[in-house]
Amino acid sequence: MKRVWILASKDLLETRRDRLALLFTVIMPLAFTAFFGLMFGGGSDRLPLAVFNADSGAPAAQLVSALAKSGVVKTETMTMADAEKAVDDNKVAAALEVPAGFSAALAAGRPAALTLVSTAGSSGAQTVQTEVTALAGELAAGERAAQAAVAVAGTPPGGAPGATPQDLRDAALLMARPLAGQSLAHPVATVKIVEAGMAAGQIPSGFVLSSPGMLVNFILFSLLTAGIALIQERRNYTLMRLMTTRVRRWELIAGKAVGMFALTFVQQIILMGAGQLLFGVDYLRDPAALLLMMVALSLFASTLGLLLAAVLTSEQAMVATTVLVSMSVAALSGAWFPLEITGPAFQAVGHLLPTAWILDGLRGIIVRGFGVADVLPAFGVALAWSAALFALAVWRFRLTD
Amino acid sequence: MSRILAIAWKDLRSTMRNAPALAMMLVAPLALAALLGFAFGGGQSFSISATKVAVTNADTGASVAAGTAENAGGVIVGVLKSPDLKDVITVSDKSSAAEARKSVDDGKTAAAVIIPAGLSRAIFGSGSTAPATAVELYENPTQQIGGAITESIVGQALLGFNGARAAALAAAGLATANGDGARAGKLAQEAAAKYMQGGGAAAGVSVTQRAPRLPGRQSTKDVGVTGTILAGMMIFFMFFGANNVARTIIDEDRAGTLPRLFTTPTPRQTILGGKFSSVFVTVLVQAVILLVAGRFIFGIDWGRLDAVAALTLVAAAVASGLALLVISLVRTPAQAGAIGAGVYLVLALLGGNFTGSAAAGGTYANVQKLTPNGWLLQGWDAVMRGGGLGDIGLNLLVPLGFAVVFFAVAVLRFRKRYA
Repeated sequence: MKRVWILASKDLLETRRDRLALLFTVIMPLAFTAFFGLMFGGGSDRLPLAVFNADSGAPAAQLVSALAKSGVVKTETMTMADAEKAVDDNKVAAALEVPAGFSAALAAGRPAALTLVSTAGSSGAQTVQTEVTALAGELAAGERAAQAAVAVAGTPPGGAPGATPQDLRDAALLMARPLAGQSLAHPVATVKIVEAGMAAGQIPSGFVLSSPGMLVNFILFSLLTAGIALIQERRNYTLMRLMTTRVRRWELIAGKAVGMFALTFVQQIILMGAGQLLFGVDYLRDPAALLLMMVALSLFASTLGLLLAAVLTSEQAMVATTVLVSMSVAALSGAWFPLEITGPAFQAVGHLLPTAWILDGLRGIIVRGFGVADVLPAFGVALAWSAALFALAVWRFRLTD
Repeated sequence: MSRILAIAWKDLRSTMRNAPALAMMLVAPLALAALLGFAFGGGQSFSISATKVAVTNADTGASVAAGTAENAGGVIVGVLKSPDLKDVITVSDKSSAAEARKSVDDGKTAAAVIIPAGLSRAIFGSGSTAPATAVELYENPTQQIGGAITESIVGQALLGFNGARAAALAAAGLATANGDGARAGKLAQEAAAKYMQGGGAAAGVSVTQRAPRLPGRQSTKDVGVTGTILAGMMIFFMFFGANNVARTIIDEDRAGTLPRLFTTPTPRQTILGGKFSSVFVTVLVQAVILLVAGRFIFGIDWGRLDAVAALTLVAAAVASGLALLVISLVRTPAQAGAIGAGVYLVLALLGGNFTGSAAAGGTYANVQKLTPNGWLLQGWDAVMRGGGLGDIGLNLLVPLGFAVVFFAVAVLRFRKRYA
């Protein structure tokens, strides 16, 4: 057992002295965490929305001013041609066209149409659409409520001399609108959102998504250095030479596996520590459950690395395979984007991988207060995978090319 | 010139025989584009799975007019279960709030809609004295999109009731002003009923989305997801393709073949020129293969040929200039691999190779423009949407400027090293 540890600690020492390894194991994942966290955090950055209002009516103006006060979008008034160009150049998230006749349609009780111009696949445009629909819906509700009230309660008796029925109706609408608006401003029925398992007052930030995701992505990436080292040692006959000592084959394989396990485990401690302290991601809500997930991830990563190094013969093949495997596994597991935005088939395929389970477990610990019992299935899946990968790696392990 | 071509040809052939290099240059971008296209439905728009929602209705209803009772909670459940929404949400009934919350806690549903007992009384209660109440949306914080969808559906349904209530209050107010105060209560009920008959707020406004229309563009089409993703992956892996070939300068230097070449009558500039050409030609071939594969495997319509050709040439110039610059700054093959990969990853991240146009607008669009690949990607986006050369002038010139600077610095560094 002592020899296993000596072999492993030699590999760790090598990694520690390799300043380039630091770039991939620590610096890059933190940079990516910060970047994706800020990008998907939503947070303080209001989405720019170009607005073109071709309607001169009061409801249209009301909609534009409601959008101007919105906390989600930041409006810029421009001509439609400029707005189309701004969307095409990605200068704004979307452009809203309020067509002539919008107010008239609302007043007549006909459906009023709005057009939102955006490029395909823009997540910002989806957010803008939700906000526009909500504000316009409120406006329409107020207008229709006022109309229903006037239709039922009738118009005030008398009025100015010579006033037409239309004038009287307009006057009644003028009275009804603020009454309806006031009622809508203080609704009796609202939606109250309760986040399951959240610590009081904590709001899930973009980092909750990005920190565990990038952790998984780069733990897989760091197989690269360890795998290349093993391939080099095989090629330089270092492994054969080791066999002339009292080291046995199983000790050699175990030493390499323990080395990779320890490397990825230390990397996890550093990245999670940074996540906890720099990005406010609460990994430590349940230390025992967290430890299980860390062991699961390191087991999977180290056995996968061992298998790749056992099967592949050149450094270049190791680089290509690691990049491809780690990026695909990370994407399929929901490390890059939440699996809930993907189709059902993708989600099913993703959950064949242990990393998807581990990510669910990690995010569950952070935001939902998962305990040991909740992450045990994820641990089981990772354990089964690791056992299979390890068996394959031992079977294919060679001392020379 | 023939010597430059001979060197370039030799490097191209050795790349073609290098299986790992080919995997990185061709298989990786296609495989990742296929995978991500699969994730997002691959077609013309994003498709996502229906959100699973648990619902429990404790609302006991309230009498609205003599002999008629309404159950607002039942209406909300009906909206959630309406056939129009079956692709968006899948609803399961639960008998109690505790059971509904448990289904979210157990991960069986993304959200639970918990309708309180007094909802109808609050909505249909008379006057302004009715106590406000709230429908609870208990959601899994790791599934925010499903929660947001459910929130917007329930919110719309509640807006219908709040609107009806607003109609009632406005009618009562009008009746009083009209001197008809005695009938205020009855008129309020009639106004609410009339509001609901009209379809509530849902019938009020529709928002339709379309792609931008620009003058001079023959057609404006929505770009498929796979096209956007493959353009990003192609440029990203062109960096690696260029790096693989540029690295042979260091490899040959260490193996002694480069110093040996320098002893021949061929001038050093010619030898380095040959190396430079081979990097450019290799990534150009890589790009053409990827574009053709994208066309035939994924059916991507890349856009007008002249614009695509210009973007491809400039992308190849940027990738080879950058790779040569990186190689000119490092000493060992290991450094070339690691530092190169680091630089390319950061550029791809900032330029939007992994995120496509998902984050259009805002600060990120400006960050993208700090990188040559960001400009190229925006150009590619415009061309795929039907743009021509006239629309992407800057998207060609700026990256070309980057490429010229990269080449110039690389040439100066190599001249110094091999003087």
